[in-house]
Amino acid sequence: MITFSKFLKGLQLSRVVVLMFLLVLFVVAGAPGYLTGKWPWQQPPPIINLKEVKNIRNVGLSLPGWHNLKQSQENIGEHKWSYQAIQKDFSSTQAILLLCPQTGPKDKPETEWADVMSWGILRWGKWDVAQYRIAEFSVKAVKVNTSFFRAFTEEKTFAVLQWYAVSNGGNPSPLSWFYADQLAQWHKTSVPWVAVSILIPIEPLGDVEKSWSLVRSLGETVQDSLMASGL
Amino acid sequence: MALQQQLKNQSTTQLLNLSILGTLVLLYAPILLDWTYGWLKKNTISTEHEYFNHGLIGIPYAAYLTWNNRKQWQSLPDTTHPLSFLLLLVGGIFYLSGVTQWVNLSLPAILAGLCLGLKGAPGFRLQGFPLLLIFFATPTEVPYLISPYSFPLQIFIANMVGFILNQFSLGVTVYQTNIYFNNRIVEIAPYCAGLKMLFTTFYVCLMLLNRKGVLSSHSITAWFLSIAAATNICANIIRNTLLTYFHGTGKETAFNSLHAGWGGELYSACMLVLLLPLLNWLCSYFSDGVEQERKL
Repeated sequence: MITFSKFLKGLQLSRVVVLMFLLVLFVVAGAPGYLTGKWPWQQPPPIINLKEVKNIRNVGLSLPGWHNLKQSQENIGEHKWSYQAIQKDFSSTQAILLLCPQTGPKDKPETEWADVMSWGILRWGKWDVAQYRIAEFSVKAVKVNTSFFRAFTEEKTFAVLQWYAVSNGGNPSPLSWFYADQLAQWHKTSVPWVAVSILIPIEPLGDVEKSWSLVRSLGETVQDSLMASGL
Repeated sequence: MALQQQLKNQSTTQLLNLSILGTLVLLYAPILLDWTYGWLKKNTISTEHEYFNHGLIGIPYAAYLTWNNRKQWQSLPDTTHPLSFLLLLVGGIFYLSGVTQWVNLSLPAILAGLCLGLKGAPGFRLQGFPLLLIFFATPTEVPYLISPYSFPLQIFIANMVGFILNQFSLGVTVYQTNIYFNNRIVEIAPYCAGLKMLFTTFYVCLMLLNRKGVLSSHSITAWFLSIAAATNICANIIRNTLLTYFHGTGKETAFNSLHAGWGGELYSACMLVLLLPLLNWLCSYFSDGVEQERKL
């Protein structure tokens, strides 16, 4: 026994513990990588519904209570968006719905709102934001935070609603998606996203709050349809 | 008999050290190769990954410093700091998570844990600077996280570019981060705000300060980093001005080479080379000051 304890002391326990620890790591996570040639850190987890989500760009969304006047693809920033001109059934109310779905597991939301602004300036000569606030609504117990503001252009004035939609909510900040996605990645899944911009024409330089109930109901319809279409 | 025992202990220690090093290499070689590949070949991993390409010089330099420290490291007595368990545990969990940025961060965590575990706090202090170099070269999502906050800087750069071009009566209009010139738009995007170059500059500054052995001098370090940052922002404004001018006047080849090609690299390299004479001047300036104070 004396010789054994001497032996241990000579070995220096700390080194043995460290080596055992590293060997365990190697057996659990290193060796499988070498054997298969595939490392989990090389690629984020695949997006299960990527095909459905990407297809939104080609076909847009069908919204109950609204019908399409036009649907096309539009280059906004470096992305291709779905551009939809829609009209409310039995009413003259029109709106523009812009949707930018995620294109792959590495595609992160980032400058979408600045891109929409640049696009608006090119199209209507101006994009002055006023009466900005964070607006909230719920769809089927899912809470959605959005940016709600007035955009004044040289031709029209819009009430604008913008958010990144995910399956269990929405937020105008890309960071909110990022934290949810990081958490999902620890469970080997991912959080697909769609950038949504709704533009509803209002009276020139009008009060944007007057249109809130209309904007809100369209927002809820869009989030609901996105959740139903596999987001 | 005692001598024999000691020799035996020494050889076991060495065998253990080699095994630890070998296992570490096995654990991290694929990751380090992947980092290097991503830095050498642009756009293979992600834009965020490229922000850390100063690791190409930083990590070998850290290895070189550690190698130079080996005699001091061996002469330190073996002790274990309790924090080492926590660092190794956290590093291990990160490694097993399989999530890119956390697997990456497991490297500095495990290395710091090893220093504290084998040689205690003195060992950690000895390897502190190489550890810092490795930590700052570890690719994470931090550039993505801070990019929304670079908006004021983007607006500032756009306005400065507009101001400079209008000194030559070029009729430029600036709207937020967009510059309109000859019916063309140049957008100062978050990744054009020069944060990448700023990161690289700070990193190279740290290495130079360490090389000169003046990192502990607060006045030299503070002056050097501030001047470097200011130069960097000015250089970036000039670069964006040239880019806007090239784009607005239809000089596409000049635009492309300065934007993403060799011109941009050359521009950055010139910036970094300028740092060396700046540091030399600061060192001589401050050492003169110290001597004068002594004389007084």
